[in-house]
Amino acid sequence: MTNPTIPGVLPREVHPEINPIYDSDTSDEETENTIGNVPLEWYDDFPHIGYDINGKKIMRPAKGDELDKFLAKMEDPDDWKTVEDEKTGKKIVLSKQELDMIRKIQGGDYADGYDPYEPYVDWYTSDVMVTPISAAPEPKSRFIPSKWEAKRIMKIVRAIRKGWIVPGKKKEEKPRFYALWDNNDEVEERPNHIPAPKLPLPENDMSYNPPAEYLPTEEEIEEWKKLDPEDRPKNYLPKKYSSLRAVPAYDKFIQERFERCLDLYLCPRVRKNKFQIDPESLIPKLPDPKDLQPFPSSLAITYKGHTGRVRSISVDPTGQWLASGSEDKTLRVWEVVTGRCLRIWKMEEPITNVSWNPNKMFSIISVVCGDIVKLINPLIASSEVQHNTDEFLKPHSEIEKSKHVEWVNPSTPEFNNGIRQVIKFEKNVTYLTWHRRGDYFATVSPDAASSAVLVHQITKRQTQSPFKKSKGLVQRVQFHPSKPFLFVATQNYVRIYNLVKQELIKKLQSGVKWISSMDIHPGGDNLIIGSYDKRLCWFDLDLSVKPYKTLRYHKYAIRNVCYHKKYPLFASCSDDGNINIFHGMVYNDMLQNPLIVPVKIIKAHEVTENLGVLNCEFHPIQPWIFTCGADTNIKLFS
Amino acid sequence: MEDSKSNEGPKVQVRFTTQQSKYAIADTPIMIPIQFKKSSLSQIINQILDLDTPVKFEFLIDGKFLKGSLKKYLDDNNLSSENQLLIEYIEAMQPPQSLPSYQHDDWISSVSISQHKNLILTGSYDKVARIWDMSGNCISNLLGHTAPIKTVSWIEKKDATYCLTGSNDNTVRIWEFNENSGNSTPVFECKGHEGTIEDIAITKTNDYFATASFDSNIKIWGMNSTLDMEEEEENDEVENKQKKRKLSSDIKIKNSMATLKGHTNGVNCVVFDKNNYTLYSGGNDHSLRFWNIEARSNTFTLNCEKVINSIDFSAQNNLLATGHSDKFIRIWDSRIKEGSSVKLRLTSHNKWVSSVKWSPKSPYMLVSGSYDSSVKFWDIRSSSSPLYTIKGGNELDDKVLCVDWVNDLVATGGSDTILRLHSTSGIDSTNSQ
Repeated sequence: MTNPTIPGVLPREVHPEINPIYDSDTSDEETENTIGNVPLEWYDDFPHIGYDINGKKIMRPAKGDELDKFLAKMEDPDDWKTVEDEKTGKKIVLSKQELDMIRKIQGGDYADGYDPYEPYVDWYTSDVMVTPISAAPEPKSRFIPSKWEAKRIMKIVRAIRKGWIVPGKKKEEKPRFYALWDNNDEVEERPNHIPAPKLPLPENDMSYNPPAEYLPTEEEIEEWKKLDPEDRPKNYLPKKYSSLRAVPAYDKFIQERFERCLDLYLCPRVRKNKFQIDPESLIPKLPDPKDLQPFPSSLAITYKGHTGRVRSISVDPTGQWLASGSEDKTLRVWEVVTGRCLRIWKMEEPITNVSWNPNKMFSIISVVCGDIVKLINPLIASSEVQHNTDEFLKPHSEIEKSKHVEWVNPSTPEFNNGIRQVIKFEKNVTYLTWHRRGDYFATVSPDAASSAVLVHQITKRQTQSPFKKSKGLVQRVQFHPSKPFLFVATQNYVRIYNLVKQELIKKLQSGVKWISSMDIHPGGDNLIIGSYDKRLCWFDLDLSVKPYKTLRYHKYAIRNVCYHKKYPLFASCSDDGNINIFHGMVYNDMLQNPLIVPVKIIKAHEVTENLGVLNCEFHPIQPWIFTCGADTNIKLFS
Repeated sequence: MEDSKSNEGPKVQVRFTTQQSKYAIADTPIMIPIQFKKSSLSQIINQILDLDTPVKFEFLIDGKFLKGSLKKYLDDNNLSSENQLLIEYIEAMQPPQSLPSYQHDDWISSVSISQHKNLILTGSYDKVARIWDMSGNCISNLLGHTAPIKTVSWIEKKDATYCLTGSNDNTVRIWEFNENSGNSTPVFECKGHEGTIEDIAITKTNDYFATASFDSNIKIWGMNSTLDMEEEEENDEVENKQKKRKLSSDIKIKNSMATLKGHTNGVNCVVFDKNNYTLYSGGNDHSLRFWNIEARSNTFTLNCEKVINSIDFSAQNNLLATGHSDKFIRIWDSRIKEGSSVKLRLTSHNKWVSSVKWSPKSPYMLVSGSYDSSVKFWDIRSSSSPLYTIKGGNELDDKVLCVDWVNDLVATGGSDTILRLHSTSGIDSTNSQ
């Protein structure tokens, strides 16, 4: 009876061999009760207890009394294992196997001896058998890439290319725990998302049972009712209810819903983008004026003496003397560093312009009064210079008559006074400018139509009229500091002429209404103009014919603009009594634009009869500026 | 001084010293209440010395003047009252006493006080230099320049006294002054500069003088008669000579011994060192230059941001003081040749400083004149504010153009045409180390 152990097969339970004798076979029992499974007490009143297969009554076996039972107990050793079959009424002696079974059931065990703790047998093992079940060749589909998969992959690839999926990006991990009632719930980032405005928190008086101090008095209720609904500070009246149950339905529910819908319907669905730019960052970074020293900043000397408006000033090229011409018909020469008036010349007309010859070899002041220009040797320079000057201005015996002007030799008293040459014009002269070598000078007489601009040569005592036609009301002329160019400023334009080739080179469009003054940078490539409509324009001749910068700092008309010859400074003076000092750096590098920084506004002169500062000029060497004004003073700022 | 007032409050231990021997006291520590100011301290010194007439003293701690109370000094320097303080006291400078002033006809451009005689030389814009005695009499008028006089100076030799005048006509004239007769006669006309003469400096030995000119040159001229009339005679243009001969036949023309070229712009001021061969100059090119006269070379150049109007050298402390065309007086140490050598910047003037002059006695004192019509006395130990400010003009517009300080006399002149004199006493020469 040994259990053969076949690998992979559960060992079968071994039962005792059954001996096939007939007494144990119940199939042919005769007295089989056929009443079926009915309650037996139905037969309690009958002598029979059922019917056999043939329909005959099965009689109830006789039952012994208590004594019989006792006797049987005493005598029959199998009595303890004898049970009565109620259906047949017979006594059955239980076999040993049956007793075992009963005992197992009583012990809570399986009746048929099932073992729940059998060793586990892995029927469907992962071990590959030596011989495969199927030896069929691999199907072709396994070698062909899947079209469907390719589609899916392409979809992902496209998404990656468009940036919808960022490979390698970690999914944002949500915190496992978070504040459920957190206030600043993150709004999902959608394009053009407009978050709903947050509602205000309910106040104490919105409660159904507010504290007594929140309840309005009668007067307050009256007052509230009197107001128009739009004007009411609150659109409800606090009320007290004994319990939440007593609170009635909200009477303005429909009204409020309607208004809300109206709001949504009328609300403009346009997002107004606010620029998140610091306004400070839009202002260009300019250097601190402190770093741009030196520049004139404080009053140093006042030159007092004139009794009329001082129209024009000029500093001699060495920077030691200052000449000034005034409407009191006097020309004065001052010592710059002390403010001492050294000489006075009386003229016949108010002086409109004085200017010092720029050549250091000579000492000549040109004075414009009315229609006369006088060249004066001030007799203060060194003897050598004075000698040079006198040689240079030695009276010519024969002066050829020009059709525009008349060169006149001075009379003897005039000569003794220093006046070396007198030139008479047809019309009033407003402006005079020297060529840097000191031989030529140009004059402007705006009324004289075609001969408004005249160029004069001292050595030959000649006058030329470079233009045949008048191109407008000429305001200023100036020679280029190094090239044979002449700059002519009319009301709106500045024209640059080449004097050698006799042609127009450039025409600058100022964009201002009336040019008042002009100065050329000592480098020759930059130009500033001032205008009666308060503007100061800087032209970079290499850049364009339009202004590089237009500055508007003055309140009233600009009277004069000037450059410093050595320092990167320029200034403008105006009828508002101020002079503005600018730092104007011109770089040798062609790519770098000039740097313009306003550094100082100086209140220079008192405004008298709507005239303020009439002229300004820089000292040729020091960072100082001279100004003259309608208040008859000349001032030096250092 | 145990009795030093029954003042309550904390006290500090103090030792007094002085370099003025006549006011010396015993070197013993004294406890002094810390809220004492200089007036109280002055009283204490007076009590110790038992002087007949009370003398005002100034007190120096660590070389700085005491201002306010001792407590303030301790607080400012984070010192506790446990420390012992060494206080030096000196007799206070009396405010300058105003003396009679002399009216001129025109602006006074320059002034010079004689060292040995009681005479004052002034140069004026009316082309005349004048010699004044102390009673206000104009002894002599030096007539001859054809342009305003810009600078004047005395040269006092044993045998003779000379006046030097430099003018806008580019010449310097040397005049011999005869004290007995009060006459001055022009001796030499120094020609050579091509710009206006701005300043004259004279050596201590009175052998040479230097002139600064607007033509950016400095010229050295000799005073010994043996050095005169050098061979440069023929260099002079014949014409010029003839002209001069016509003008004044008895004036000889003097030529310079050397020309120092280096300044790139006008020279405004020159001064000699005490060693007689170093010259300092300042000019419009913002440079302060050191020159060696013997080598005739520019040995060192310092750059400053502003035009130097005036310069003075103090033999007692080797410091240079310069007045500038801003509001400052700068003090330079002539010995420091590296880095920034501006030792101090005195600010109180509100316009250009036209002139500075060191005290002839004290190594700390100087006087300055400015275009703001004020004259200020400074002690470089208290650089924050001037000691005294006196009027230099009648109106605010008047400019002080020149100051001079010789012995106990300060003279100032300017555009108000008045020569103002002030006597300064109380600065004892024993102040110097």
